[in-house]
Amino acid sequence: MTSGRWFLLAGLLAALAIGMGVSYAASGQPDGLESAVLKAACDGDEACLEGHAGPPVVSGLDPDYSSGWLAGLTGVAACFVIGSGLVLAVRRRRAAEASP
Amino acid sequence: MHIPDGFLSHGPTIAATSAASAGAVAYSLRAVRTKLDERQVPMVGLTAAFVFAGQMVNFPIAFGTSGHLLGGVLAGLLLGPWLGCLVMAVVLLVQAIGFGDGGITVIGANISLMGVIAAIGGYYVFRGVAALLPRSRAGFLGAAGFTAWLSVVAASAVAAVYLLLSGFPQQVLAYMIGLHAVIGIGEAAITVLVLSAVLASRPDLVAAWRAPAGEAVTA
Repeated sequence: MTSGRWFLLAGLLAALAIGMGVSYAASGQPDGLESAVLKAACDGDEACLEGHAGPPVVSGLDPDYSSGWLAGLTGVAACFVIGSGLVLAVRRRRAAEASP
Repeated sequence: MHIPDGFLSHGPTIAATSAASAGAVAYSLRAVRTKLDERQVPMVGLTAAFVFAGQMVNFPIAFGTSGHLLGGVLAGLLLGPWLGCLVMAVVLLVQAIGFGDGGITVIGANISLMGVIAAIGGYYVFRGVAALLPRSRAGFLGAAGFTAWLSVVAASAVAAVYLLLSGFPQQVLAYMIGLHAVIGIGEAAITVLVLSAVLASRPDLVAAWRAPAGEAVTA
């Protein structure tokens, strides 16, 4: 296996380890934007924060992943596949334009 | 930093950020088509996957608040500004559509913050900062860390302006910048750590490392 493939494999394993494992240790506190809105506009009331966000625009887009590891696996895989697909499509189109 | 649906009620802000981000993504696709370096092909999916995973890990800071990696500067320096912007757009779309993290109606605003400001803007600010420092690994990483921190603060300030235009009180600006000035330290540390690891093993895969000052920017 070439060094490029080893690098890719190691990077993917690192991403999966972070998304499926390390993410279990993630803080549940509000992030910077939520916290700023809580402090500036909601006087610390989380119900007020949810009121600002309102209901989902399209229902079903906030799946309740029963396991954090599944969310990590799904997201990492989706980003890898879509990102790779995008750049491969660009390369294919460039090759098609270059051929006579 | 992901703005959820409902936070932005100012129509012109939503329309302008959507148009600007669509334009940035379209330009990025065009730039990538003409300037794509073959070495970058496997790195695109990997960077998107890594940024997604990194954004899952919220780290606590003070004041009952947490932060997470944005990854825009990391993507921009690894892949160049245009592929960096596209990678951030992919990550934000997957999060918004698949995970309800960041709003659908404000996807343009979120891409403007993390793709345009952090990845594209961050890349060019990095080039300016790096030109002032010695051309060495330490200088490169120092410039990367500072730019990563600045990208978080700058994106938070612009996000605060979006919120102000949607009727949030003025204090949101100070809170956003103050909290993200602390979160940016984590961003800088993660960015420097990852770039150090890549530079130690495959420096040829870091677009910003390959392009000396003044050379045409790759995709």
